[in-house]
Parts: sequence; C-alpha cells; structure tokens
Amino acid sequence: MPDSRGSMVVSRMWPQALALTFVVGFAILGYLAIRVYQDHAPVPERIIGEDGLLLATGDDIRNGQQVFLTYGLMQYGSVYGHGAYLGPDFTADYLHREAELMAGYYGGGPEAEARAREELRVNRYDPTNGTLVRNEAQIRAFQELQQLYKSEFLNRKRSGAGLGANAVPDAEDCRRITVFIAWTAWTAVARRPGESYSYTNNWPPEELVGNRLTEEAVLWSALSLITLLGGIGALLAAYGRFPQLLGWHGAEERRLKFVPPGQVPLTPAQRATGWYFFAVAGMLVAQNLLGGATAHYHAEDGGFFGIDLARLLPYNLARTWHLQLALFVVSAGFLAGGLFLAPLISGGEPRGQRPLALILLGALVMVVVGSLLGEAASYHGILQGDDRPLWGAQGWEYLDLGRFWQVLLVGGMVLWVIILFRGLRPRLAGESRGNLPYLLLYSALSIPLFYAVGLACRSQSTFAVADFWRFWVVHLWVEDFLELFSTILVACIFAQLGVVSERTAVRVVYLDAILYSVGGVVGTMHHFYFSGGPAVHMALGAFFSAAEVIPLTFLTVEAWTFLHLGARQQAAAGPGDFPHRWAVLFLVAVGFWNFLGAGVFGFLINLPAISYYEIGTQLTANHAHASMAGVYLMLTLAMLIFALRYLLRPEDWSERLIGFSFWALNLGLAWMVFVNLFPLGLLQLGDSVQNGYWHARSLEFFKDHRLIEWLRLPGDAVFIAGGLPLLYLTTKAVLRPRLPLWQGGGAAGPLFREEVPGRSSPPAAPPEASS
Amino acid sequence: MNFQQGAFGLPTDFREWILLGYILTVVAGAWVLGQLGRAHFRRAQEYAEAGFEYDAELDYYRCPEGERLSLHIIEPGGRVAVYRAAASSCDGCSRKDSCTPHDGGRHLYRPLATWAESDSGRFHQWVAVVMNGGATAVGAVAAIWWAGKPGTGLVLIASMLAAASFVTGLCARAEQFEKKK
Repeated sequence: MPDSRGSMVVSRMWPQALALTFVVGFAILGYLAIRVYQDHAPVPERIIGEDGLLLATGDDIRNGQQVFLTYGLMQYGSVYGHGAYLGPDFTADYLHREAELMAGYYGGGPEAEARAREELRVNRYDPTNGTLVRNEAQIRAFQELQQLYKSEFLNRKRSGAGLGANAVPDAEDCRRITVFIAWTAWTAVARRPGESYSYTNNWPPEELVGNRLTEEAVLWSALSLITLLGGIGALLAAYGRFPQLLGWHGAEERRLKFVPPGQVPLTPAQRATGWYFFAVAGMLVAQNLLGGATAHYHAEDGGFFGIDLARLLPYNLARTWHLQLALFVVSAGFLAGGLFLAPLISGGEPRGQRPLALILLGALVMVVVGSLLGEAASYHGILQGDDRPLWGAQGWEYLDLGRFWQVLLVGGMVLWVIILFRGLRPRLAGESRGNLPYLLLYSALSIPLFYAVGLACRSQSTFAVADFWRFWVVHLWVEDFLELFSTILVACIFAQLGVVSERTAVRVVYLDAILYSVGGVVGTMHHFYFSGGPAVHMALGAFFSAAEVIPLTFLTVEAWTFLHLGARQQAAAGPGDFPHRWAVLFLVAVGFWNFLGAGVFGFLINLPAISYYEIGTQLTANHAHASMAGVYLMLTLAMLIFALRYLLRPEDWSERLIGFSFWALNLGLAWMVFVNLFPLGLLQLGDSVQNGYWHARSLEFFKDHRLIEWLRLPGDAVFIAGGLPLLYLTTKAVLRPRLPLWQGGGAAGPLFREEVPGRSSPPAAPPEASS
Repeated sequence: MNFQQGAFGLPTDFREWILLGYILTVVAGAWVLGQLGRAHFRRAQEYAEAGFEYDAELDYYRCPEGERLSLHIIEPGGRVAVYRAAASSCDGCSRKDSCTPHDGGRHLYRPLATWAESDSGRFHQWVAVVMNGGATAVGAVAAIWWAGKPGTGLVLIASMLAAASFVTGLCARAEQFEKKK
C-alpha cells in the first residue's frame, strides 16, 4: 500500500544522527546507573561502640533521612552540597565540628588534631556483617552535636535562623536526623576501600580532616578544559567550512500581512488556555513574592520589617513553594502553549478538546493547591508517619511534593499528551514522521516520561541512588527535554509567523537536539560529583558536561541570531502591523539569558575543581536564577503573550502594560544577578577556599555580608512588580473572552498572508469564521 | 592569601581582590554585551542578505548571478527599504527555485533603523546600564566595608569607572529617547 504521507523536509540523516546520539548517550547513562547501585556509599545496618554497644541502626539512618526530608530541611540547608543555601551544609558542618570536638577530647593542639584526623579517615565499616564501629571521641562528638542541632535548628525555643520554634518537636526524630547527618559526614571522610579518597571524592574541602581535591578531580578538570577549547576550535572550523549546512542562509524574507489579532478565530480549546495563562500569571506573582521572602531571610534572619516571618512562613516552606511554583509556572505555560499551537498547526480541532483541556486544568489546580498545602502540613508536623511523604512532602529538592501529587502530575502530563495528539492528528495523518508536527509530539511525550523518572526517588532510598535519579529530572527533564520542547515550540511559532520556513525550523530543531544530547545526556552527572557515587561518575560527568559547552556556545550564539530574525520580521512588517513585538522581544531576552545564565554562569561552576569549593553557594543560585527565570520564564511569557494577543479583546490589549512587564522582569533580574547573586557567590567561593566550605556555608557568612543582601531589594521589588500587569491582563482574558469563535469548516489560522510589496492590497479579511 | 601590608596600595584582604576583579569584569562584560548584541543584529541582517552584495554608494544590491536589485520603495514610516530585481531576469535564472517563489522578481528588505534604535538594541543597552549600575553599587558597598584599608583606593577607582560607564549609558538612552520623540 503506497504511503500517503508527505516527504521529509530535511535529509533522513538528521533523525538517524539524533537516534544514534540518544542510543550512545543513554547506553553510557545506563552503565552509570548500574555502577551507582553497585558502588554507592554503604548504609551500615549497625553502628556500635568499641565496647560493642549498639548506637544506631540502618533504619535510624533511613528514617532520619526521611524525617530530614519531610520536615523540609533540604529546603533549609543541604547535605553533600545539595539543597538550600540559607542553613548550613550539614555534612560539612558536622564533619568540621566533629573534628574539632575530637581534637578537644584528646587535649587539643597539633597532635590531638592529627589523631582525630587519622581516626576519622580510617574506614571501620565491615561490609561482611554491615557493622560500623565508632570510638569514644566520635560518640561524644555525636552527643554534643545532637544537642547543638536540636537547640540551634531543629527544636529552637524561639524562631530564628530561618526556622520557626519547635520545628521538629519529637526528640526521637531529632536524634534520627542527627544520625543521618553523622552518616553523611562519615561517608565524606572515611576512605573508600582500596582508594586514597573518601566515598564523596574527598568532598567537602576540610583541612582538619585532610580532605583536599583529589588527583582525579584535577586530572578530569584539566582534560575537560582541553576538550572544551579543542572542541570549540573544531566546531568553529566546521562552521566556517560548512556555513550553508549550519546557518539560515539564502532564503528570501517574505513580506507578510498579519491578520489583525481580533479577527483570528479561536477554537474552544484555545479559549480554554486563557484560564491556564491566568493560572500561570497568578502562580508567577505568588512565586515572585515568595522569592522576595526567601531572599529577605538572608538580610534579616527571619524578621520582615518587624514581623516574625519565620513563625508564619519559615524559610524552608517559602523556598519549597518558590521552587515548586517555578516548575509549575513553566510546566503550565508549556502545556498551554502546546494546546494553543496545536489547532494552528493542524488547521482545526476535533470535538471534545475543550472539556479535556478543562479537566486537565482542574487536575493541575488540584496538584498545585494539594501539593503546596501538603508540604506545609508536613513541615508543620500536621501529617505523621507514612502520610508525610505520601500526601505531604517527599522533600527532595525539586521533587518536594508528596508522592500522591507526583503521580497525579505525571497522569496530568499524560492526559496533556493525549489532548495534544488528538489536536495534531489531522495534520499527523498526512505528515512525514520526521517533520515538525511529529517532532512536537515526540518532545511532548518526553515530558511525562522523564518527569516520571523522579518516582524512583523515595524518601528512604539510599541517598546516592535517589540523587542519581533526581538529577534525571533536574537536568535531563528540565535542561534537556524541556529545552527541546521549548525549541520546537519556538520553531513552530516562528514558522507560524513566517520568520523561517518549515525546512529551516526542522533543521534547527534536529541540530539543537543532537548537539545538546551529545554532551547533555551524560553531562547530567556534573551534578553528581560528590553525592557518594563512584569516581567514574565524576570523570564522565566532567568530560561530557565540558563537551556540552561546545555545542552550547554554538547554539546560544546561533539562537541569539535566530531570535533576532523575529525582530527583523517586525521591522519588515512595518510599524504597527506586527502584532507580536513583545513576544519576540521576550525571545530576544531568552537568547541573551541563555548565553549568560545557562552558558557562561553554568560553565563557571561546572568543572570538578571549581564545583568542589563552590557547590551549594550563591554562584549556584546565580546560575539557577539567570537560567530558570532568564530562559524558561521568559520563554513561558513569550508564549503567554503570543497567545494573549489573540485571547484578549483588541481594546483590552495594552502595549504599555506588557512593555512594563518586559522591562521590569528583565532589568529586575539583571539587578538581582549583578548586584547580589554573582558578587556574593564569588565572595562565598573565596571564603570557601580561604576559610573552609563549612564557614562559607554558615549563617555567619550571610550576617557578615548583609549590606549586599539589602542591595538586592530594589531589583526584587521591580521583578515582582513586573508580574502584576500579566495577572491583570490574563484576568481580563478570562472575564471578558474575545469573539469570534472558530466553529469548524475553515482553517484555524493562518495568522498572516503573504503580499508582494508595492502592490496595493485589500484590507486583510478574516479567515472563514463565524462569530 | 596574605598580601604585604599596604604594598603599592594593593588590597590586603582576598575579598577586596575578588570585588575589584568583579567590578572590572562586569564593566568589561557590559561593553562586550553591547558588541555581541550589535554583532547578532548584523548577523541576522547578513543571513537575510547572504550571497547578495550591497553597494552603499549607489544604493543597490547585486545577486550571486550578477543581477541588480534596485531600490523599489521605502515603506511608509521610513523603517524598511525594499529592493527588487527585474522579473524578467529572475524568470530566466537557473537558481530561481531556490531563490524566490515570486514571479515579480527577488526582493530584499533592508531595515533602516540602526541597532541602537531597534527594540533589541534598547534591550541590550539597558541591560548594560543595569550591569554598570550594579557594579557601581557593589563598589560602594566595598568602599564602606573596607574604608581606610589598603586597596580601598583601587576599589574606588574601579567603582568610578563603573559609575562613568553607567552615566554614559544612561545619557545614550536619554538621547535615543529624545530622538524618538
């Protein structure tokens, strides 16, 4: 039977190269998954004293980890450098204090310090019976630190240090949490069997216990740099040799007459996206306010202009909501973007799309409200036992939400793919499987698939194993597959706006996917240098993540130009005729932030030799804000504004308000980065090298630099203000929906028609539609 | 990191070195940003004109086959100039299929707005202004922290450089704004 599908608009070499890249990348990642299960830092089943007395069990460690996570302590401080940045890194803090206390127990002075160092470095874990032996000095240090953590953080009499009073009221829970922290400190100093370094590749840097950068870390950092420089040279040479293959040359720009947005008919499902964008704007405003509150904790230690904020909204809860809402804003924006674009791509939509879209919206609202309330109930101790990780908070940073809500969210994403498939089906039927509509569907499928990997993290999973899978979500899902989906959405929008031909758009998408995946898949491991996995993860992670920068350099530079093409379309359309001035400007901003936030700031902290001192400092927050807000938020808002142009009645559209949002969000973010996060991160990195990592991560560090924290406030205020006009306009879009409504029969879209310049043309007629 | 007390007026505190380096890097970065933004604007133009040569003196383009694209019209508002090749020369050209789908001859669009006048130019320039403003503010904080210490003079000089770049950027934006009005 002859194939009635159209032909591919690009060579078949492109999808074949992409498939090969994925197969090789995931084969290596599969090997690393096996190794992490085999060689992660062990959890002893029994911890005993030299007299044989049982001190703690493996269940204490696992339960302690669960309590640590479900009380939101990973969103307050960190372990292994992973978590939040206000509280201490508990691994480094415990290790430093333990070494000091042991030296004190032995009488103090250089000899006592040397003895403590040696005793800590000796690995007294016996894998044959799962028993770890601790000596008297270590037991006494544990007892003192248990009291210290209880009084300073876990069960304070008065709120402070970013936490409320009696944050963890149960004494047994406090003990288990300390057992878990003490275990992480043990893995950070005890030598890995047969090796001269600890389970964490000698992290954290700590002179008292002789933890220094390993030779492997230096070697792989150097090799990574050589690869990076050589690779960029080779890429630039290839670019110079094959400019026609890699660029967007020679196509004639088209002179387009855009259909006035008020005359473009909207399908029922497109109308429903108004509610999605309203939710996006509402969540954005809440997320920004919470971000302001978390930043304020660095300046005022829990106070908020006289209000005891830590009692009402402790830092860990504010940060959890801030971070979860950031993911919800981007996810909901992308879901809505897909739903809005599908009818434009396929030319119509089947019956039943709107009810399905509204069901999905309901599920989304349920997940957002339910998970945020659940997290509060877990942190405040309202939920108990197994209900805490199920309905409340699992507590892994980025995967904070309770398991029930996590499963529901995966289900919602699957429903979204089904809706998208229904919407695209008319177009898919006659389309080559390698062209843009199919690429949109494939990338949409990857979104629930890679988010679902997070289900492998349970609150009692061995830390290194859970962290391995967690970064599949943080890195592969967010940085690779959301990036791919967003690239395809931008390509679709640009094709819809006549900026590029479909052939160019498809080529850009393949090139992007291949180049990102070459380094990006295995490069996931650059998050995983010091979490207790084997050294091979650090070696391959460093190498591939440096290699990731090579295409990233090329792609961000190309994308920057690519996004400027949109701005040229505006100029070519003539003043006042191009309806998407602000959507395109948001995309120009994406190009800039992608280069700076993801490229420059990301590479600054990528090498093991840098990450060793830097992990968990404000330089990480700097990269996170400049890339998450700079790239993903701006991209989400580009889609929101693109759709809003059609969802709003013409008289409700306001260039002035959208312009205010654009400038406030971008300049506020720039202020936040250049006045606070970047310089403070550099100071913290310097402090880590000079005074030790534990010191750079102490609350005292922030107290010493309060002035620079206060400087951030104007930028935050401007950024928060930037979200308000979007909330106002999206509210109008749902309360005063625009007509006409597409009722089948004609094409949904197109958004423009081509005209020959200089020839007089009749006014643009609306496509077939009924109002 | 211990530096000789006060030698050559150099900072003695590693934090002073960090912020001194930071201020100078951000000022340089703001300048580089302007150059990069301008370069991408130019590249987008070059992509659209790839293979075509522009003669600024006689104001026309020459296509890869040597045909001339003369100025056809300047759009109302004066933002875009349209150049067009003769339809007869395109119709007989072997490259027509890959060059233009029109029967009216290949067209080229040339935006007449400069980079600084474009939205993209405004975006990059404003970000550069904020970067320089931020570097100035950080310099002021450093001067308060380490007033009277060796090296403060260097930090102040760097801050003044940032402040000068900040004011220059603001003036350039104000000038553009006046011009637009």
